[in-house]
Amino acid sequence: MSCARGLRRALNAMTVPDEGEQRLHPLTPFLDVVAMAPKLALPALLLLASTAGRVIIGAGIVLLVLRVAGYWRTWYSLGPDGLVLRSGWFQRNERVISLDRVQHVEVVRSLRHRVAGLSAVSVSVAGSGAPPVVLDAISRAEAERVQELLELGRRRSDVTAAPAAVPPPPPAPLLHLGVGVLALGGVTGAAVLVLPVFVALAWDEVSGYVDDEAAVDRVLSLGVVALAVVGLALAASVAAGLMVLRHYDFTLSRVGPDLRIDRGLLERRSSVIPLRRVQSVQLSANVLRRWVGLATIDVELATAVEHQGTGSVDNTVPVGTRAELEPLVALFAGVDVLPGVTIPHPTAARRRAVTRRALVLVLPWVAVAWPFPVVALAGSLAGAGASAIGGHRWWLHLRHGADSTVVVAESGWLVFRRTVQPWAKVQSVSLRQSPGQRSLGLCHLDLHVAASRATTRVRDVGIDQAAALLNHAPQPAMKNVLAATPQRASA
Amino acid sequence: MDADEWRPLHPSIVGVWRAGATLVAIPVLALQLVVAVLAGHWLWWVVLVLAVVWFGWMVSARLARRYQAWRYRFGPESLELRRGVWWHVATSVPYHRIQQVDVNQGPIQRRYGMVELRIRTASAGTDCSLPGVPQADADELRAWLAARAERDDGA
Repeated sequence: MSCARGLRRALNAMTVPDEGEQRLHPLTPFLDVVAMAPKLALPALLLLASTAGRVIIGAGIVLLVLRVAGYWRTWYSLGPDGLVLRSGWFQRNERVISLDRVQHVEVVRSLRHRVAGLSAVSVSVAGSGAPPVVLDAISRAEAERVQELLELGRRRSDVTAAPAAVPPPPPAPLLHLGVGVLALGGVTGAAVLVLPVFVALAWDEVSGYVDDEAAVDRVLSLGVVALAVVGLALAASVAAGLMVLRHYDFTLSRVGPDLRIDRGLLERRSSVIPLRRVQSVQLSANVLRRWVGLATIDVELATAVEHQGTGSVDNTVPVGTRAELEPLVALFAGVDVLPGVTIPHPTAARRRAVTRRALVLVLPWVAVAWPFPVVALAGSLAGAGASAIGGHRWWLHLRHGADSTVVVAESGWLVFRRTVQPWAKVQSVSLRQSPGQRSLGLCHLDLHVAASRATTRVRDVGIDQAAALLNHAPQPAMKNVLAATPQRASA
Repeated sequence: MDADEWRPLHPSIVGVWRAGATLVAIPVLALQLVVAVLAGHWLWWVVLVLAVVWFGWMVSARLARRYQAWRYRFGPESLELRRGVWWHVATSVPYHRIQQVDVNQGPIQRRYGMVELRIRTASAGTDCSLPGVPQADADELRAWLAARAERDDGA
């Protein structure tokens, strides 16, 4: 009798929540099993092939029971201290996330959530290594409540933010991307270059299995050019489709001191980017995208890890016209107007660029082709020409500018990048010189920030230009790096 | 703590570097010797001789040059370092950005009574460490840096 009572008490202690604690949505175990299904499909098929259909059903039931048990002992609560998540039967876990450590909050609605009318909330935490806390799954209304409470709490803990934390004003839309722009962005993106390789590899595989050589010949007789065109068209449409799928109905809006992004066709994502936590901003565009006037914005937040899909800050704005995106870069960087990026780097930088390309293009060619002088000479000339053109074009895009709030560095021809680095986020400064750079009076200026892309580099800048640039720094400590360069120290 | 004065590392650090290089070189050279004896081709002996010459240069000249190139200073607002023989690197870490100061000591360093001071900021890109600090000074230095970091933090 007393044994039974003891057992019940123990069971109660394990299953009864504290005050204010809540369980996830009761459908959670079923959604978990659905989420696992694709990974288990192959073993299940193998089992099915080996007659044991009943085993699969049994395994499914065991899985569901395990998930229900997990669900039964998972609670969360939201209080003034932050979000508390308690879970586990044998090994008890309790995670407390204080509001001031919340980096950003994302509401994810993948297909299974949408069918069930639920949401998942992913909360990223400052500091490297810590995975995001995920509440998967809760009802839509609850998800909105959690996101709002966490955002409100975070804003209140941001000391210099608006003094009284009033409820956020209605979102003001800043940018909306239509299907056309997204598709064009997909076609001009890097995925197009990767896909033909896969197609070629797949073709290689398939053609190995086809016995009918006449059929292969017939396909080949279509001509390599026609095949390439078909392959490229296929790759382009797949890339465009993927882009639309991921970012359909992309909307960027302003909510008080934060930005909010909603996107996705099958899986809807809604994330909030606190502008105060932005470490650096990058606008980039490859040759194709520049040609059609498109670009991308990547924002670096102070979270050192990118986790699977959630919390990733790359492709903050996946694509958009240059005219739309340029004012947004300033907004992300927290300034009204960016300084002009007008300062070209010394011609010595061009000499270095051409030389480095020539070393890669010409020397290996000569090493391979030297038994055939004519071929070697022709190849070397072609390589030298390509180096000269490539190096010159690269140098033309090499510029920087600065004022007392930000540094702006531009570089790259095939992929052009403009990085905007607020001084306030710079943790330390380094100046690097290779022997070659030393003889040309150049250096790399590295600005270190607390983000996964930890270094903003001003490439091949003249030593005097670096000095002028560092003179803009509001913190005098940054300028001292120049005193540490050997030439200056000895002078 | 004297500010504004460029100081070299402690001279014993050259010994630490030499011992480290030797510990790496001995098994590599031994392996090459075995290969040369077994293979018997003259090319392997050339490789071995080149490796020995390179190691000799490393221990006799290169590490001393590296020591000469190393300077650090406690500036008015920041810790500054310069180092590198081929690649010159100059770094400035403002005191108020310092998050953490680690003291590392490997077995070789322990033998020479040296420690390495590793200064970390919030950025993973910051590459700032003082390899040759006498063990006796380490605690004082660390305390001083931590105090500076604390004092400047509010500013």
